[in-house]
Amino acid sequence: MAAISMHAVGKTFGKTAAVSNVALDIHDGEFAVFVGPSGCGKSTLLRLIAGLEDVSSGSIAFDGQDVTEQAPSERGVAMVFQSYALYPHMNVYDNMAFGLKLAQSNNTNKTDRQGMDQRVRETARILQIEHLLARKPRELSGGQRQRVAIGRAIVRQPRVFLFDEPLSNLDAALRVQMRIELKRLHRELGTTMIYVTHDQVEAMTLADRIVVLNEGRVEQIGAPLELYHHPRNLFVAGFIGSPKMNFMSAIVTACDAQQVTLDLGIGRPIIAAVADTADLKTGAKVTLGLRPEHLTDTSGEGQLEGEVIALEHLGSETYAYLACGNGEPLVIKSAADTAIKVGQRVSVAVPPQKCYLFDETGMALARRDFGEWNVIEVG
Amino acid sequence: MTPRRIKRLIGRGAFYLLLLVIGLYTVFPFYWAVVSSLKSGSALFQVEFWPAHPAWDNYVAVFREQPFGRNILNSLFVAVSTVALSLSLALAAAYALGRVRFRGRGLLLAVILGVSMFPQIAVLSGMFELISGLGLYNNLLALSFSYLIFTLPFTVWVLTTFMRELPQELEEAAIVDGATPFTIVTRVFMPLMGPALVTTGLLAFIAAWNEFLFALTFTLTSDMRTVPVAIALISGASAYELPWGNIMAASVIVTVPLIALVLVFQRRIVTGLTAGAIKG
Amino acid sequence: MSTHASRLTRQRVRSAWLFLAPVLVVLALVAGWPLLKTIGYGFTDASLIDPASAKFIGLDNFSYLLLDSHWWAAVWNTTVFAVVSVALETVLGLVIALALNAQFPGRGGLRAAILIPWAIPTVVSAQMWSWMFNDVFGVINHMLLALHLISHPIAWLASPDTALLSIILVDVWKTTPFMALLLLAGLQMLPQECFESARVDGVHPLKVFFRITLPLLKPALTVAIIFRLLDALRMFDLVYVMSGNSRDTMSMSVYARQQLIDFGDLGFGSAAATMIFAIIALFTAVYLTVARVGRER
Repeated sequence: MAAISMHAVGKTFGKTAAVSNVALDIHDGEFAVFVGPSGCGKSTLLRLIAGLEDVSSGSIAFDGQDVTEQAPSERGVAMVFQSYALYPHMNVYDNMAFGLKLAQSNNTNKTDRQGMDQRVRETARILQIEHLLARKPRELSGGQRQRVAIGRAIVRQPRVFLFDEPLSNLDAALRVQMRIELKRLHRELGTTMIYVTHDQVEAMTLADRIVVLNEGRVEQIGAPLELYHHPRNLFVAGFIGSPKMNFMSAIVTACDAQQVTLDLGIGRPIIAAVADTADLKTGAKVTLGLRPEHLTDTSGEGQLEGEVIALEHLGSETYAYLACGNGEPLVIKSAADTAIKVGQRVSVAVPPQKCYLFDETGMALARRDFGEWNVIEVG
Repeated sequence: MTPRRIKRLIGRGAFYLLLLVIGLYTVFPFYWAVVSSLKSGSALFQVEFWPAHPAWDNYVAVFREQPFGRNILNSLFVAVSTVALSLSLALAAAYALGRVRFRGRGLLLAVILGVSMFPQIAVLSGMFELISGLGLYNNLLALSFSYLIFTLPFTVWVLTTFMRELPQELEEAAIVDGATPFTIVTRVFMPLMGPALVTTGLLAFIAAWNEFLFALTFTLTSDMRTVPVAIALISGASAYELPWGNIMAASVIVTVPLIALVLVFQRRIVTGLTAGAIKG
Repeated sequence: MSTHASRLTRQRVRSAWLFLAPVLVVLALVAGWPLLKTIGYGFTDASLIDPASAKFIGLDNFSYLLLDSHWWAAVWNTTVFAVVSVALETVLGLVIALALNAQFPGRGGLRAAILIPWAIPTVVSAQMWSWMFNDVFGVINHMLLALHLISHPIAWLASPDTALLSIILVDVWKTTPFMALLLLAGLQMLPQECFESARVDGVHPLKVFFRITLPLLKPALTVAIIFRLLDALRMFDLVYVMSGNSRDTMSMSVYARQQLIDFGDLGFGSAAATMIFAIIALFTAVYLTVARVGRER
């Protein structure tokens, strides 16, 4: 087990910077998830931690010890790859034992061999793949291969587990199952895990802390709910949450200590709660962010109104797309058995404490804490 | 029948006629060699497309009148040792060229490709001196060694293209498992390169088996000759009395195994040939 | 940009050179050193029997070579051989490749059959065809006489008029399959949509061939032709086995070997070999450039 700290890490391929100036601390035993759109540098960052790529600048330390120049095996990392990367010519047992055999090739006494055998079998038992040990990878299903790949990592008792989009080749049902299993494994092993994904749902469900990356830079680091409730900027706000947050530009028409009044150019003025209005002046341009799940159709007089242009029935809930103003349609969440129909005009109430405000540079204005989320101090 | 249908039928017929001509053109000369080899005595000098009285006399004569069995063993030894040497050397080199980034890689590949274009005649005198200097003149080892000039660049080149196609994550998994480059080549990649090694080895084998110039120049006595030299130098009392029956029998003997190999590994050979030429 | 090469990277680069070392040493021994020796001998009067007593004679060998009509005959023969045989092989190879690219029963069998000439040792092909070309007992004369295409037997290999032609025909037979397979591979890599849309538009097949197939196939065709030209320029086996050291058909390689081994004139033979190397090096440079241009596209 190890705490990992990265200091001013940069990586360039030719002239393009894949990762620039990343400073990051991952705590011992933590489940950290790197998330971001494709090409954001998350996989590169993982490979830098693994030691599969050389850093162009900066340094990486495990438990305070500089490992920047160490090879992956010296760092004590184990990695699970997107394609699983099982050795096709070896059976499951040999796949799992390969790393141990290499580590032991120097001393071949019998107790070591027995220890190795025990470790492989014990790991297979934990992952419920004991009956597959004699099979070749091509005789396994996708889910079984995934388990073997994870088993190969566990067997080596690494200081850090690295996962590179390991579930993206599985079907949806299996993905949910493996997610739960990974969480259980993390609880049982207590080892530091770093997990890369482009799927924010995976990130939210697995992570102790999420690192949101964009264009090679860290946008925000925080616990899943912290990112949800207190996104630092427009990018994080838009990336975390599904469906995506609605954004609308607005002008501040009045502000007092705890709340501001906004003019969207459509509908009625909207009142938004904020923690601190010191930086805001009347007439300032801001962006208002509203999550679909915080908006519902109201029989009363809402602040916003629009015509329903599309409905998405998901069974447990319904999302309605409203045309209001000239911008993108406003998405709201409605009950599963909602009565609203396409073409109907719907009125939407905007609760002040559910508003997210961003200034002209895209940075979030601090939100008031309504007890839904206890702020944890983050390193 | 409509005129259109007739036209189509004629087109179809012409196409099959073309296929027939291609087939006959490629196969007939060898067929003729087989037929001729089975004719003994004066039957050889009559043009008959099917031997009326097939006889094995020529085959017996080939082995009786020269050390042809020995020649075959020589060819086998030279070809097999050349293939083994080139594959083992080339596999390691192909890993370096195909999977490791380092300065000078492109230049090395160009040099190796360049060597494969060397005309054998250009190294003949230097090679002759080298071989004499090593005391290998009229020795089969001289051939195993000198054949590396054309088998090695070819095997390195083809294995490099195959090596590049192996998945990167597989190598990275091995690196994370703590495998050294040597372990990666021998225990991870080599088992996966089986088909590629067979293809490349087969092509190198055929090239070595068929080689003539070096074999002609670096051997002297008939018991050191390889098959091509032996066949080229089969002679009768005079130029006009060449023992054609024997020559044809010898030709058939050395060609049948090759043809069998080619037919069995047809698909792989085509892959190997195109990997060597087009991707270059 | 300062990349901190990790121990992993350094180990990999070190291993790469270690893995390459045996190949580089062997190539230096079998190719580099002998080539330098050959070039070196080209400037001496060395003899095969006693190379040690060679004296430096400058460009004498080369100037003598350029005045030797036999050398120029060899150059001419080789050029004719290379140009004619490669041209025939290309046309025939293209026809066979196009035929094999179509769907018909027995396609696999025919593709296997055309590999036979390629697999047969050159020496064996030479002997097989020499027998077929035999003026008295040869099957070719027999068939041509039977079809009344000729009135009396032709001494194919003995007559200066037909000897080179005969050799070219054998080479065409032997190497057309190689050409056809390369071109077939090229054909199969072409995007199928072009042909399908042309067929939908009802374009005449000949027009499709000249307007679509040929231009698309050009890179593969160029590479294959240069590849074969290089091979044809160093040709030795066929000529040597079919007509020995005869002046009418002698190729550059046969000429150089005769000087070198049969006449034991190590210096002069090496000079001729050096000339051949220079000619082929020039073509190789062209080939590499073409290949690189093809890859960048």
